[in-house]
Amino acid sequence: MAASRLDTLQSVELADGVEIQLRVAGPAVRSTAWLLDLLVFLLALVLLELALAYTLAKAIGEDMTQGLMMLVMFVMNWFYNVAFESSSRGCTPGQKWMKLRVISLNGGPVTISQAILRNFLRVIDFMPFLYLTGFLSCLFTKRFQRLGDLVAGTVMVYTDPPPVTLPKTHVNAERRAPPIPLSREEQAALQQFLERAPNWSDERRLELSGILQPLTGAVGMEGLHRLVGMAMWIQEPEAEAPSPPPFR
Amino acid sequence: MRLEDVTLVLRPRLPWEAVDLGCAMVRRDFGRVLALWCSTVFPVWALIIALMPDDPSTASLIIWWLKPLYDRVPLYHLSRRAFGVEPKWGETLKQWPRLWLTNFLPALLWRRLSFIRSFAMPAQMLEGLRGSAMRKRVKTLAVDGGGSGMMVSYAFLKLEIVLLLGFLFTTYSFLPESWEPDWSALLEAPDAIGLDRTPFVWWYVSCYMLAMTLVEPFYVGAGFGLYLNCRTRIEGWDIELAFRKLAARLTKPLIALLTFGFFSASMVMAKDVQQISEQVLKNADFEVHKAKTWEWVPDKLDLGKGPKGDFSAIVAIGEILFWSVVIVAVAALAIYITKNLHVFAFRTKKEVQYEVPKVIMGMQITRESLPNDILAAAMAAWDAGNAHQALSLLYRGSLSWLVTQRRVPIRDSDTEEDCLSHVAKHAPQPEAAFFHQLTGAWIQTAYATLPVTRDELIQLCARWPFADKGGAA
Repeated sequence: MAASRLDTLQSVELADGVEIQLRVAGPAVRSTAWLLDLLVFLLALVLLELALAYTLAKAIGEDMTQGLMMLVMFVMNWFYNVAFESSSRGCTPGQKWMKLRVISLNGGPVTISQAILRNFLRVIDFMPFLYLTGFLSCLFTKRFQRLGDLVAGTVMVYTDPPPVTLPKTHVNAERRAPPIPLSREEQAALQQFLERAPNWSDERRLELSGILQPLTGAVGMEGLHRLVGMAMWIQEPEAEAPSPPPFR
Repeated sequence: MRLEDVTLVLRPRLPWEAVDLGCAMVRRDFGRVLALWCSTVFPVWALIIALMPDDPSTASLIIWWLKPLYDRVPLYHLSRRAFGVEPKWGETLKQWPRLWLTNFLPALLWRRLSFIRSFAMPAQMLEGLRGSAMRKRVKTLAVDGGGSGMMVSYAFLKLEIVLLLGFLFTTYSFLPESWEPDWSALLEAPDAIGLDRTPFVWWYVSCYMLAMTLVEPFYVGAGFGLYLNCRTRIEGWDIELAFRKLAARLTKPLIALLTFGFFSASMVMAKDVQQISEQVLKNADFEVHKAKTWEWVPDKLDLGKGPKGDFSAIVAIGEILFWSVVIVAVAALAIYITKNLHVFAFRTKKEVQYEVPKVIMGMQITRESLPNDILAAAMAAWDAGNAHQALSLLYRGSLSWLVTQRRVPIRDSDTEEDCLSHVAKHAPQPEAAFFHQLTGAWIQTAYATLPVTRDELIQLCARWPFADKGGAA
């Protein structure tokens, strides 16, 4: 049951048997990043054109400038993404803005050959017009990959950490150990409760802690207090120990 | 709605990740969603087209305007599916009229141009709220002020345009020539066009409908994903789910104990283990694969007859070639080894000849640099008030003896400590013991400037163990 649940995390098993989870990014955010990149690209091109026209055109003539401009355009068109993605940041300005980056399927940074492969295949993804092929492929593959990604073995992932709300209020409860050992997931749930409970109403807190009556052995405020105490115990089993005296 | 039956992994996500979850939901059920879309939306479109076959522009406007209604049936299906119900196509279709008629007017009038349409729709449709209660609810849900809902609308609008352009470009070259408007005339006289272009506009509208059919379900899913994410964050659904599981785990063994007693309970568990292991072994990963391969063997093996003709000359040449190659290789190997003998001769000559140093720690220790009678010279120096020189003479003298006569391997770079350890290792016992004492006296005099007393010096001289006493040597 749990295995068939739908998730946005995609687990990948590495060669050494370790399973990592990639936070793959879908077509909506990727297309937005692409549009931003397009704007950056066009802006850079226009600025370059102006700069060349005002500086070089007088020195080397109109035709030479035109030729040079076309050369620059060619290089930029093919290597804009390659250069940014194979750099240490691994993302173009648009992707950085949307907090995305390209990584290899094994979780490592993309190699230059992968970056070249996935970006040169844009020509295929672009077909017949405006990335129709790439968009459909992205929409219907499990890891939201366009054809270039599938060939190069890359995925687009979020770099933004998942949202975490830290407790702002001081919790006043007595630290206590849970009566039975809890699994990692259960401990994580208790932690999450401690962290997110300040955002909820009293009723919701009581409702949730009421579910765990078999664990706490109490209902109402007493149950809530005990639950919070257990969560605090998991966070830090003992009250803050006195620090050792400073070394002379 | 039972949270335990949820078919998604709930956890607080980034808005864009929630959108991706929605897209993944639609993708999982795309066949069913598409079937529902076709069976609810296509009849309406057919009706619109049939009513105004000559006015594609108005028709397309109406088709666009009714968008919020189209979204409702897919949303209904997705919401049921998310909570573990798998509604049949017919069952969902029965809900169609009800779904389209609730909140019919507001959705088409003042809420039509809402920027957070897909995000707000689950609140409107699934929670059954109306009016100000609904507005308040949406406001509560929009944790980030609806920003993410707007971003989604914008992103999917863009995707719809992209798809529309893609389809237009793909099919443009397949159009009959008579359909195409006269582009040059359009440029010259914009008023003159419009007579024959109905089929052309219909083509455009059908591309638009195709694009909408593909994108709109995902837009609905994205909005639903956002909605679920907001509720997960606000109400802690993921925590509730984990708590329920934990509570179930805690209560279950209790019930089992009460009903079956301890013994039968353990039996049940053993049976479970067997069942589980059988289930696991049924998995494709544990399947034993056997491959049968066939090798082709010719019917008649023709081994009896050798090759025809006389090949003895070629064989002889080949033999000569082979042996010459072997000889050359062996010779080359021999030459290589002799040339690089130093590589193979491991450390046999490593014990290089020990060269007696002439200077240690900057002090001359050759016999020539020392006076003939070292002891007398030392006493004389001490009497002259130069304790440093006296000790230095003794120290140099003993080093000189140890290095030349006892072959103690002291280098010119060694310190007092090094000399001492070398002497302890290589020199005979009385000499080593004396050298130990002398070194102490020397260090004390030279570095701590605490000169030894006259008695101590006399004692040192008396214990001098080396045969070379100076002048007598």
